[in-house]
Amino acid sequence: MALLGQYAMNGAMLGMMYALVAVGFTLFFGVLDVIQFSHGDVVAAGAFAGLLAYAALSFFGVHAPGVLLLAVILAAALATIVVGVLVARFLVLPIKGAPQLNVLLVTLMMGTVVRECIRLFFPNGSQPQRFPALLPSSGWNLGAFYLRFDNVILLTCGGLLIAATHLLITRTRLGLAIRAVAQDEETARTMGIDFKRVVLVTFALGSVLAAFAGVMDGLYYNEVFFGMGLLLGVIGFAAAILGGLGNLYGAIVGGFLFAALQTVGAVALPFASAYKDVFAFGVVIVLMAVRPTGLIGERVSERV
Amino acid sequence: MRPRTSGLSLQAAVALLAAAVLGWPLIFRGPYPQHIMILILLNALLGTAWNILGGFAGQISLGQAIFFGAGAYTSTLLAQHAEISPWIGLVAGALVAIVIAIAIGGPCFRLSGHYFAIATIALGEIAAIAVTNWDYAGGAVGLFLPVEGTGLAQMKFDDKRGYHYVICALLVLALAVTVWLRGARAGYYWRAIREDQAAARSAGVPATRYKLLAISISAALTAMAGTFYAQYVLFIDPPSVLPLSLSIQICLVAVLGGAGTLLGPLLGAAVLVPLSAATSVLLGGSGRSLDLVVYGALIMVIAVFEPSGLVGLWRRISATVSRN
Repeated sequence: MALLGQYAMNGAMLGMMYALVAVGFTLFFGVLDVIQFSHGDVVAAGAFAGLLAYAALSFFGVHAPGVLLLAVILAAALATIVVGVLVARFLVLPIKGAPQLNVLLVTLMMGTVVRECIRLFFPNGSQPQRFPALLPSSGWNLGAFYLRFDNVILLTCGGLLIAATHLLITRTRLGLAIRAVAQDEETARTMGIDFKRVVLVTFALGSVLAAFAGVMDGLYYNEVFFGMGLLLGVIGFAAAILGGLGNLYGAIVGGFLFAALQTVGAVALPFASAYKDVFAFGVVIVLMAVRPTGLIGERVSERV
Repeated sequence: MRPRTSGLSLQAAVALLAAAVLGWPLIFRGPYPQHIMILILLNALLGTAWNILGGFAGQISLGQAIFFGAGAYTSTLLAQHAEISPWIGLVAGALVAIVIAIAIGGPCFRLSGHYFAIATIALGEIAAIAVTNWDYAGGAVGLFLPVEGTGLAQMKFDDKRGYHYVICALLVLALAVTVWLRGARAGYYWRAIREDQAAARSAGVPATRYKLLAISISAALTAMAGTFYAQYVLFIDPPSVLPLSLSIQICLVAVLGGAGTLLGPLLGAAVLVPLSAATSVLLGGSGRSLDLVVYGALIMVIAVFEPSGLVGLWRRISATVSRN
């Protein structure tokens, strides 16, 4: 029973990370109909920028965990916004009219560049880096199950962040503009919406979510690695597709579903836990074949 | 359509190029230029194979490494456990790849566009994980090829010239298949499917069957390249024959050269392989290798400024030249 609780907690943490990444994919696809394949490496860039901020502040003698954590998150968000907006402005927007494959390849190469830059320019970057534990490590003993505070805090913050994104999209003028562009770019333009600005803001928004996913990954595993974004990106994209690209709720459901599949693959199935990703991706492919538009349904664009 | 270079001069150019490629290892005696040319031809073969599926039939595969690995592993395992000649392994690997291709195509061809592409990425990752944990196939450690003498029968040679001519022959086979199918019924059906699958279906094109044909041929040719690679390098492991980066590289060769054209993949390989080699020679080494950064940046620049590929650029230039 305690073990089950542990697995459920681990699955929830993974699911939250995947959901945060998947929401980014789904937002980008919504406004621009593109797949931003360097998104996973943007996550890694966020985590390493946070680490850099931590090292710098420690160097200057700041040791209050709260201040450090805030600095880590701010630095991560700043780095991902810069990378995300640059990708949108100089790579994705200029080739909007080209075949989708070009965008895919260009962003894949951008991911390689970001990954290699982390490996080369971060001190000793080719090795996994220790990520500081900035959250309280105590917890509650619930019977045999030990509920850690840091996990609860991370899950709560992730949930709040997603809720905030949801409110931003559904309740604000900016969200209205984003939805208008997603529904019909031409009409949105004629209604006086600054298309380019909306796209850049959307990329910034998705990248901030990625920054939090990166910091969350670091705090949870106490370790970050320059190549961490590759698998995280593929999984985040698979999760977004699972739920239906362009659909915010779909991305969240997809993220948690993928984590659940991995957990089931690692725990309940009779083969080695190394095959958990094989199992999860296998199920994703079967689900995609059965429901090609995703579980919740892809945003249907109405074009004349 | 764009004005095309006249048939005669194009034939002459192709003949000249073929002569240069065939004579290359006789002119350049050093192992490094010979190695680069073999890599160019190998990438051209892989790009040509991708092009049948991605360029003509319009099904973007980012999982070609699966077929490459199928060829490399099948022939190597046959050689290791049953002392079977790599030439038989070449055919066996191609057959295994066809079986895998049909197993993939069955469910995945219900998906279109980027959905198919992501499915192939996921399948590629699955294949890499599965082989890494498969002890019979060497697992994460990899496999060394047994070397029992060299010569054409063993598909292993003492110097690079032998390898050069084997990969030339395989590339000619791939180009011949492309030329033949491009003008046959399959080629027209593929283009119809690529442009508009629903319209093609309603006009009576059996789309799924012809997409399966495309992926089978593409897989078989890619697997042959995998067998060749194993004989050339004499060591295979999942990171060398099954990585996502290989699948991306294959796709890049064809797309940057010009997808859906006969010579595009050759052009792509002839530009990308030396580019990659030059960046790693100039910027690699001494532990801080900037090569992948620069290589990636250059590819981004080409793709942003020349979305139709190098063939498009070449056509524009030749059109300008012939006008003046």
